[in-house]
Amino acid sequence: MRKRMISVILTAAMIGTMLAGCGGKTDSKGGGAGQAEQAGGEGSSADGNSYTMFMRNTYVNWIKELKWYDAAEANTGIHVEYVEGPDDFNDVYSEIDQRIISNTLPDAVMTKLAQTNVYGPQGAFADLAPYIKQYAPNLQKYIDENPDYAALVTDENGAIYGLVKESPIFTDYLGYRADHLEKAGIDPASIKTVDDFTETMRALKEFYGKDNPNYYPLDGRENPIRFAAWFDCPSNISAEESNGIYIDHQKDGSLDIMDENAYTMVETMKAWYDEGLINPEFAANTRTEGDWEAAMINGNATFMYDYYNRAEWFMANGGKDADPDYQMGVLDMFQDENGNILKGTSCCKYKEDCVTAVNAQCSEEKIKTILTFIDYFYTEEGMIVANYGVEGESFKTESDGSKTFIVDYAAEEATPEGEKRWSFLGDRFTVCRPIDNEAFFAWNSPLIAEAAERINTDENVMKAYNLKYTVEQTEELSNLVATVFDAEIAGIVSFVTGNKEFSADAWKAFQDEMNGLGLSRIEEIQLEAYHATFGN
Amino acid sequence: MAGRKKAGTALASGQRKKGIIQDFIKSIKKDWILYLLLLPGLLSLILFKIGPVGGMIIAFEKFSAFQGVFGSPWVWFDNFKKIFADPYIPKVVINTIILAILTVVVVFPIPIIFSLFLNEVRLKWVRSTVQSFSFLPYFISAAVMVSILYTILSPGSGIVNNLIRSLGGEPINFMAKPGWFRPLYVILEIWQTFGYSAIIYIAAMMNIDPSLYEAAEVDGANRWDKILKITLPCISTSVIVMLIISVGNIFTVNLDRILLMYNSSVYDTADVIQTYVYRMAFESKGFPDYSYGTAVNILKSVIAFVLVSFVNKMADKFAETRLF
Repeated sequence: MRKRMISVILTAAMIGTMLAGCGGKTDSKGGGAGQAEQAGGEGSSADGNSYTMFMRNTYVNWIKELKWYDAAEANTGIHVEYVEGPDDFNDVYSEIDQRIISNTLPDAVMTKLAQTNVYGPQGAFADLAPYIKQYAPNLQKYIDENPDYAALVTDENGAIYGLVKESPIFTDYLGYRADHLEKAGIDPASIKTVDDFTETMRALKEFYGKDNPNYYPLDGRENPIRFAAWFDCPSNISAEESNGIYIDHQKDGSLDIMDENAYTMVETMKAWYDEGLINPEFAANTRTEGDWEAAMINGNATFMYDYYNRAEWFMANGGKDADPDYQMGVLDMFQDENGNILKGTSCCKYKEDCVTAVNAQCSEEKIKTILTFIDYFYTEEGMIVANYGVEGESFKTESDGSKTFIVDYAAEEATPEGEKRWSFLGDRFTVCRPIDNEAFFAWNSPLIAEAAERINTDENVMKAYNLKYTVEQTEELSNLVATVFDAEIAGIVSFVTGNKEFSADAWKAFQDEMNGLGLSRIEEIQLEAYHATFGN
Repeated sequence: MAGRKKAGTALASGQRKKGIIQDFIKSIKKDWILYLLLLPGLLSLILFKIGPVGGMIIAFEKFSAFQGVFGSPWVWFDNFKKIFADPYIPKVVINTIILAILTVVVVFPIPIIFSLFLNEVRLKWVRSTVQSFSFLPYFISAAVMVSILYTILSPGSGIVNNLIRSLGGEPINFMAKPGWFRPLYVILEIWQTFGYSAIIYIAAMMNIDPSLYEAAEVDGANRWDKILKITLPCISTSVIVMLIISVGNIFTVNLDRILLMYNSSVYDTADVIQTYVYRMAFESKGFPDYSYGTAVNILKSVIAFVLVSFVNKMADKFAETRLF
């Protein structure tokens, strides 16, 4: 009898454990109200003044720390319950697929335009166009005033399935250890061209490298093929031509290998590699972020070309502790041999991988709540709250009407994780809203604010375009890019590191190979999309 | 007469079927506890192994998560046609095959040799300790293993490059050399799996009749003779079964490990079918192409099945042992 009892209990326990993960989190009040309502705790919020939103967990953690965001919720009386997704962007979008399959989509989701373009017309996401007209007058005004935005989010039937996040526009900065240059007797103002830069690195290598075998003047993380703009060969697009992989690489990984300057770029990078001027692990694309940061802090590197505020990051994260003389600076953009400025690549105004879509199963009341909250950020008051905070607490208005922050950037950004702070880093996703570029750069350390004022001009920064692709074009492009982009980077890295012999013939063969894999087709599709987007 | 014969045969067949069912019911009644304990395993097999195979149908569709398996439009063999038209497929197939062959040829014999030698160790505690330690790496995750490898081979501070430097050589960035990717992958595979595989062979050795060794000793056989003429032939069935399983897994490389070891420098040798499919389905910049990824996997499985059948037939022909 005991044996039987144990067997039955064991079997029940095993089946119970095995099936524990099966089935959705449906609650009893669903009653056919749709998946958002059915999804219980992670699904729809029952409260009329709140809604749920699925988002990348890092963004959720940042939102929880923002004082201005709390002020916005208080002003609108609407609360958003965030459902945390994974950290990796690809995993975020995969989870949306899984949530669609398992009917567990919350009221709103952070998704990407490629997903809303497919799932929207199929019926997974609500067409927001009529609701925006009705419930979001300020957002509607913004759409009307920004035809590029309207073209990007509206499909051929006039439907809007997702709202795209606006992003501040910036280029990467060439940061350097100012104290290194000073001790080596080099004037940063003398570095005007890439040749000057190479010569400077040679001088630094001789100065610092003679006693330190681990010293390499130029260091970085991950993809080393990021210098195309310095050689005037980034991918580009216009009404006449499309060169290189432009889609998703308007800024990072931008390169036109068919441009003759690309050959010079590889030749120069190879010289840097052979002479020990660039960290060999960085050149080989095996450099981790942590190793690069350590090298920049402990004096094993002088230059880095990375995210706009990275120079400040080193100052605030160990630079001064490692060396009391530690001082970072930001160089001007390079010039070509004729003195023309070589423009840096920049990000697009609209971030297509941070899109807000609304579950089609949501009631009109719920859609109204979501849009009312988003609409607030398009009002004058909402824009001030999101870009400057609360008057008297985080900013003051000057006599000429301009606004100045009265809280200290360094102190606020150094607040321990999880604590509330004033922060206006608009490159991070919170809610779809307009970005005040002036406020964005003003909310930085004096080092970066000064660099931004000096560098972020039309003269220095290339314009990047959001192109509207059809679903078929997106499908073909994403498959081609999955092949060609990695192969392109791998080929160049092999030339630079000497894994492949570099010569004019080898370069020609490489160009042909890339075209054979689909580079020329990618360029064709991009050009078609440009014409479709801008109508010329 | 013939008709009667047929009717008689049908009747006999029906009775036989009825008999089988009755026997089965009787067996369930008698050993219901055993059948009950079988149930979770059976359910697990059906729900999580056999059931999802049906999902492979999306290879013939233009799959959308929203439209589901039954609602997505059919494209029949379009995805398979795309595979053969894809100029990049030959490269990843060749890389996969080279890696797989290396894995089978180099990795497969190691646990056999290891278990043969371990079996010869006289002290039982030494044998069991070595066996336990050899088994431990099996539980280490791919992420930890590759991190250890990176640390050991680091050009700046790794033990291997320190040794090279102390001998007057130039440090080598092993993780960035395409020629080193395959050997390193295979070394990790050996490190991680040889202890686990050895257990199967050691278990087979436990079943060898000790009188065979005693008789060989009487005939003057030394230890090498006993290994080669008694132990090895006696475990040959296990060896062949393991070989057939290995061939079945020939296209199944360790994706986690490759993704962790993967970088632009080793792309020429490291990009395999799985990494390509992963890029298409999960790292897509546009809408993920799950259907194409599934089509590639189906093709891969069909080839693996053909190979397994071939090896199984060869094993039956030459060693009179077969898996199925």
